[in-house]
Amino acid sequence: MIEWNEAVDGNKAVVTLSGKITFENSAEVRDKVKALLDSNDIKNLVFELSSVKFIDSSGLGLLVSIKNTLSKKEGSFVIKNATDTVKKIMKQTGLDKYFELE
Amino acid sequence: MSNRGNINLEVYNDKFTMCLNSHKTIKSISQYESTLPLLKDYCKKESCDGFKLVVKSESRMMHLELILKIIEYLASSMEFLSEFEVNSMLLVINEALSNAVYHGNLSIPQNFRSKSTLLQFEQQVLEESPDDLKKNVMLTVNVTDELFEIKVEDNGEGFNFEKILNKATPPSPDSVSGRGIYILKNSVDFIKFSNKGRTLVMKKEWRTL
Repeated sequence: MIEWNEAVDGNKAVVTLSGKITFENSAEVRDKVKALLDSNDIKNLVFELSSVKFIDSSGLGLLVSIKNTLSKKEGSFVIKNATDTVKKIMKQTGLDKYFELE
Repeated sequence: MSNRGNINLEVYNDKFTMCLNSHKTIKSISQYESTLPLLKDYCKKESCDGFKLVVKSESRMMHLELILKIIEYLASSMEFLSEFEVNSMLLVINEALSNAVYHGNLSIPQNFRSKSTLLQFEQQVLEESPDDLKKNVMLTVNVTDELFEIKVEDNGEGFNFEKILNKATPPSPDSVSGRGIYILKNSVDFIKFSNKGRTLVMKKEWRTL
């Protein structure tokens, strides 16, 4: 189960997620991100993750693909307020250096 | 407290064992939704110091969701576990269960996963080889106040687990896949594959989290 809330301001969007990003829903989140980026020509995306309990390898793959997509568009992808479990998995997989974490 | 619907519960020395066969239970999912809070109340009242869950499940998303939900309920009912500890264990179970079902039992093609949802994949399997969805995954979760132990068994073709387990570094940061077993290996104290990779046993002490 994942809750999704988005706020768009020009070419910037803030997506607030709540729940878990896992194999159960990562493809659905990917489709929503794609729709958001395509319909609003978003260049700067922020994921607010303070209510995300954990992210599995499938969810990490999704975050990497979002980062890769925005890098190609010369945009930015920022992850805000990651919980301890999410920070731990990022560090474990070396992604804490790859993502812009705030 | 036993036989609440199709969930069989046995209580022994303040610890209970739940045996769940998703083949029987999935039809009455709504019944479980109402049972779960009762379980939580029971654990709190009796100050349970652990639980054991034995599950046999089909390779279907709805079944996996139900199992994960029950485990989350049980784990978060244990007063000796912090939210961080519960989430760390759930992540390990989540990762092991999805590996067993999607890579083991259903051999999901990599390109499918990058374009479609798992429910779309399940629909395709249902149309092309419906018996595959009946392949079982067996899960045993044992939680005490000192550690958790997990055993997952699938019915797939197995895989070269040694090659993946021996990797000392994570995949390249820009890679969109290949982190599952690396995460498992680095999240537990003990990990062992056997039966050509179809059986996985892991242990983790809470104090080493």
